[in-house]
This record gives sequence, structure tokens and C-alpha cells, in this order.
Amino acid sequence: MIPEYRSISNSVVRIAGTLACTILCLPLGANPSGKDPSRPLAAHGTIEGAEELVTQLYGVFDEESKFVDETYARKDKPTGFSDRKIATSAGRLWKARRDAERLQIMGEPAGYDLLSKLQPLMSQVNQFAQAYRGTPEGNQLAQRIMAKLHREKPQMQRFLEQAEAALQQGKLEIFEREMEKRGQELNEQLVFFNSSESKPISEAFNAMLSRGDSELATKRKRDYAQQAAVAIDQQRSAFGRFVEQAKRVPREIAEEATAQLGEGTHGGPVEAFLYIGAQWGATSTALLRANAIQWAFPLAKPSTSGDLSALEQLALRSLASVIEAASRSTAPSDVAGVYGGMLEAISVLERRNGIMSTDVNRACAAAMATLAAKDPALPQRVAAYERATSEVLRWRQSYAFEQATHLGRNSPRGSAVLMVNCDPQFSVRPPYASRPARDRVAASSVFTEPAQWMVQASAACLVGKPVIVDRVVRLSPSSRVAVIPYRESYYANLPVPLPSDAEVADLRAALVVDEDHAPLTLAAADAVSSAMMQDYESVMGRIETVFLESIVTRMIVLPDGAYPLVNLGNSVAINETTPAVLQTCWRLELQPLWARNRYFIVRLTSEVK
Amino acid sequence: MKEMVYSRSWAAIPLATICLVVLFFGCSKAELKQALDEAKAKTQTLTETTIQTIEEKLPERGHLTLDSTASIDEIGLVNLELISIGDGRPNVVQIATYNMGRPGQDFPAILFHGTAKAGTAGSLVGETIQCDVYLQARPDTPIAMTGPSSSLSITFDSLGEDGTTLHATLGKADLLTSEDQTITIRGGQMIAVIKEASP
Repeated sequence: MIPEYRSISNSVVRIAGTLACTILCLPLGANPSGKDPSRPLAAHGTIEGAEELVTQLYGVFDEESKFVDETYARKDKPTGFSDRKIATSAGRLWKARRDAERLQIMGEPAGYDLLSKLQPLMSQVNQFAQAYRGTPEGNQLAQRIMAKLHREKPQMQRFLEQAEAALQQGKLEIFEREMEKRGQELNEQLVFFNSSESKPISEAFNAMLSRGDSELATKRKRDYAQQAAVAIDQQRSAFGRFVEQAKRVPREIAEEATAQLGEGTHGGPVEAFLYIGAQWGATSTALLRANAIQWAFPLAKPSTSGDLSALEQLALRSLASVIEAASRSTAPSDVAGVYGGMLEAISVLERRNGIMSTDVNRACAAAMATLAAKDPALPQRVAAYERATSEVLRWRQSYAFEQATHLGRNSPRGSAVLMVNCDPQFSVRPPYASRPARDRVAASSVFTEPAQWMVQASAACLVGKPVIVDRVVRLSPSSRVAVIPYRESYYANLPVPLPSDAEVADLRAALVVDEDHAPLTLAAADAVSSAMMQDYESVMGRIETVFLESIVTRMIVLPDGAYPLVNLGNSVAINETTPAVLQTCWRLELQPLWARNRYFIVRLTSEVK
Repeated sequence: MKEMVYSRSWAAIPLATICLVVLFFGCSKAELKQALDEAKAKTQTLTETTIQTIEEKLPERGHLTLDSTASIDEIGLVNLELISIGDGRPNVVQIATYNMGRPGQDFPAILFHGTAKAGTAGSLVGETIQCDVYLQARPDTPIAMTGPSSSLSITFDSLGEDGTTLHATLGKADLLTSEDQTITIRGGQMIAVIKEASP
């Protein structure tokens, strides 16, 4: 009787398909890249209204930026300026700056980026106004405005008294709305005056606004912290749901040799093992999302703690239980097939657990021995299989390693490439924007200036360069995307599958594996599963596109299916001394030139030598 | 390789004993001469037997002559194992010019790896198998290997006299080194020592 074995890549498709996301589930049009540097930094939207505000403000920036560029081009002829447009711009920018600061309280990294973009615009608009003021028409306009403002002083007085009343009554939103409306008008008028001229008019208004802002900020920080805490707890509730699955699935396998694995899907022991693995991944990302929300809202006090290593311990115990359960409910004639399938499944998870990880194998070793013992012929088969394949694996591994060393001899590794100094002249800045004095590293770990400028300079410096990166993990067996997991401020992705059919068939033949015969050692299982899944030890690729993201947003919106981005059981390390909202996350899109499976090299172009 | 062992001192001992005995019991000259002749004859027989026994105990190590563009002509160590996994998979033939239990010690190191229909090494005679070839001439030279679409044929011509070796003929194949150089095997002759796969 042919032992039951289906290559895991067939079985996993059914389960992981429900969790996988094609392109890391980022919203369309989010995050600036070298190809499209003016795109907004994505919003995570933890606080309601944040996403819309981010979109709106980047729109305001685009419009006002266009106005400033046009006016700057004519700055030698201030008589030709439009005073109305200058005034409107001043008012809008004043309001936009306040909104950006509000976004910062909402924990949105875009709030900081927007402020850094808006400030140079405001500075220019002020200069346009001063230049216009120096013209005869401008002078007359200024006199008219000042006269009007003096006439309206009593009205202003009454307005401020009403504002005071609103403050006293705690009607903070109404206060803000009315003050901002009036404030925008005031700024349209006062842009043509210097600070000592404006002071008599604006002093009382600004003082009142300041008080209200202060109360509002306090209230909002408290409210948002509470909302964030709720969001954190909600993410961490995934842990409890995992506990349920971790118990239920092995129990069903023990009783019936099949278990329910998601909506209307059932599977045998190997599929159940992979299902628990995928649930571990999904729960892991939920905990990572929760941690990232805490980064954005340091004042939030959630009532749960999400411990990634506690999750790992639970997951490993559950995985071992699935195998123990299988050993109880699997017929001896089916044991070899299940055993081989489990080896492949263990190897898949192991590669997602970290570099050279052995945690999964060690956790499952005793259970695997119990399973194997149910088929008295199996130990001898395993020993014969090992003898027939271990030399082959040894040769192929050495050969692939030598090839990779030879092919990669002139190319730098990823982290080295990102530390290279880039000439900031590459960034396309407006003529009025100051240039940094010296080179910056290609991929700074913090936002030091507008993301648009940073990504332009880095892309100009990096795009087209070949780079070697270690560890490539496919998002799912059917995904067209494989990721290089996050490390040192960056991650990367490349399109899969690579054209490795000939190499994979050759490897499977050498390891005496086919549709009906599974690999019987962990090393052979790892070889076969990594070849068929298209996970690689390293890849050399040309950098095609550079994206700049915020690490906070990247982790808050990380979808369940993208769990391979972070090693299972690990949290994401960020710099403790810099606010998290100011820390970057670079993404490199690579066009692969060659890739190294542990046991073979696949080349994508004959140019590769 | 045969070794001649001739031990003068070993053969001389019984002669001395005989002489002692003779001296003790007082033999005549003729009797002495006869005793000496008999002793010499015995010694010779014993020594010949010793040589034969040593020849039988020295293991055949196998032999490979290779016609190739790698600078490898002759190798004096070739082991073959036929491994039956026993679950419907094809049987695996591994032929190595090194001790598989201790890789990295013998060079040139070559592994021929393929599958066969025969169930025992002895019944490989008459079969031609297709092999992947892995080759490393010296510890500091790049490894070479047959590519995914290439293989070397090995035809098993006969079993050695005592049934412990297989004589085989090698076919042609191109190998690629890890630095993209081609090594061509044009043919070769092999005497492989059959090793039992240990349980």
C-alpha cells in the first residue's frame, strides 16, 4: 500500500490562501517611493478621522506648494503678486499646520512629515507678503487692512468673551471651531505685517487660543490614549482565540484524524500542523500590531500584555500535540506518509522562526519519535533513506555555497549598501529649500527632513545597484511575493516564483522523492520544501524601487498573511532613544539576478557569472 | 597491491629448537642433515602459507581510471553500495572514491549517485544506470557537478572473481565547476568494491 503523502505545497494552498495578502496589503497610493516621491506617508488610522485628515493635508500641501513655486518664479516682480492668493495661502497654511500638530497627537507619523513640509511654504508665503507690502499697492492695502482691524476691535473683544465662556463651559470643540475660523481670517489679514505690527491685534486672540489649545491637547491625549488602549487590547485578544485553536485542533486529530481548519475546511494531521503554524503567524502579527500601537501612544495603558515568547511556547506545545494526536489516530500503513509530511511542515515553520532555527524540530522531536514507532518498518527505512541521501545533500550544499561565493564576489550585502553615503544633491528640492551641508547615509533610520526629499536622494543613490540579501521567505505557497524579513530599518521584497523547475526536479530525483514518497529526514525535507516553496538562503538582486515608510505605521497595519516579515517569536527592535514615530522603515523592491537555495542556485539571466 | 612477507627470524626459531633437541639427544650427522632438510621444507611451506593468508586478508580497494579534462588519471579507492529503502522507491546506487563515513579525507573525491532496478549489488551486472556525478580533485579546487539535465551512464559489465567487486564502464558527461568551468568525462573503467550498507 502506498503510504499517504501529499507534498505540503498542495495542502497548504487551501489553508494559507485565506490568510495571504498579495502585496503586503498596503493601501493603494500609500508611501513615497523614488518613482513617486510626493505620495503621502501612509496613515494607520488608530484614531477615527486620522486617515481622512492625512489625505486632506497632503492635498493642501500639493496645492500650496504649486502656488509657492509659481510665485517664487516671479519673485523679482512683487508688483505682479496676487494679494488675495497670498492671503488665502497664509490662512490655509496656518490651519494646515494646526491640523498637522493634531495628527501628531493622533500618533500619526505623517503629522511630523507634514509639518516639516509645510514650514518652508509658510516661510515663503511670509516673504512674498513682505515683498508685496513694499510695493505702492501693497502699502495701500496694508493701510486699509490695519484700519479695518482697528475698527473691528470691539467685535473682536466680544468674540473673545464668547470664546472665554465656551472654555469655561467646557465646550472645547465649539471653541476650537469658532477660533479656527476667526484665526484663519486673521492670518489672511496679518500676513502683510511684521510681528510688532501684528501684536496689538493678535496678542489677545493668540493668548486665548493658546489656553484652549492646551486644554484640548490634554483632553485629546487622554482620550486617544484610552482609544489606543482599547485597540491594543483588541489586537491582543487574538492570543485567547489562539489558545482555543491550540487545544481544539490536536483534540480533533486525536479523535478523528481530521480537524476543522477554518471556514468549511477540514484537513488531516499535516494540514492541521500547518494550520496551527499559520494561526501562530496571524496571532503573532496581532501582537506586533498591538506593540506598534503602544509605540505611537506611549501614554496608553492597556489591560493586557502580549508576550510573543509566551505565544511561541504555546504554539510549539500545540504543534507537538498535533503530532502526538496523529500518532494515536493514524493507521500504521499511513504513518510513513504523515511522518514525511510532518518533516516538511516542520522545516517550513523552522525557516519562518529565524536564521538556522531548531526550536520547532526540538519541540516536536519526542512526538515524532512516538509517531515513527507506530510503523515498525519505518526506522529501518529512515536509516536507509539517510544513507542514500546525506552524501548527496552534503555535496550539493557545498557546491551551492561555492557558486554563491563566486557569483557574489563583487557585490555588497544589503546593510552595507544602505549605509553608503549619498549625495543630497540628488534630491529634487524647491529652489527656496535649504540643502544639507554634507552627505547623508542612503537609508537613515530616522526622519530628518521631508520624506519626499529623503526618498528621492536615496533612490537616486540606490536604484540600479546590485545587492545581496540573506533569507528570502515566501508569504505563502501561492503568493507572488517573497520577503526578506525586516532587519536594521529595512525589508525587501521580490517577485516569485523563480524559474527553478529544472533544479527542483533534479533535487527531488536525487533525494528519491515523488508524489507518493516523502523525504524521510529533516535535512531532505528542508531541501524539498524550500525548493518547492521558493524560500531561499540568499538572493542577489538589482534594486528597482525604494520606498520610505514609517516603522510605526508599517507594523500597525501589518496584515496576518505578512507574518514572515518578522521572525516568529520575535518582536521588532526599535531605537529606544528616538521617538518611534520618527523612525523610518525602508522597503527595497528587488529584481532578482540569482538566488541560492541551500542545495542549488537558480539564475535568472545568462549574464550572471 | 600484494605484499611479500618473508620473515627470517620467524622460520629460524623451529630450526634452533630442533638443533637443541638434536644436541640433547645426540643425533648423527646424517640424522642432523635430514632433520635440517625437513625443517627447511616445513619452514618454506609455512612461509608460503603465511604469504597466501596475508594476501587473502588484504582488502581489495577498488580502482578507477578516468579519461577526462580534469587532471585525474587513476584512483585506487572505489566503494559501491546499493541501498534499498524498501517502500516502493527505486534502489539507490552510491559509488565513492572516498570513505563515506569520513568525507574530506581522501582526494580526488568523486561521488556517483543514481538509481537501479537491481535489488542487490551482485545483480547489477548487465544493467546501465544514469548517475549524477560530484567531483572535487583536491581540497582547494572547486567542486564540479553534472547539471540538472546531464548525467553519466555506468554499465556494470561483470562481477569480480570472488563476488566482492563489480567491473563497470563509464560513459560521457559534462560537469560544471562552481566557477562555471566545464570538465568533460569522456569515459572510464571502474572496479568497485561492494560494501554492505550498515543497518
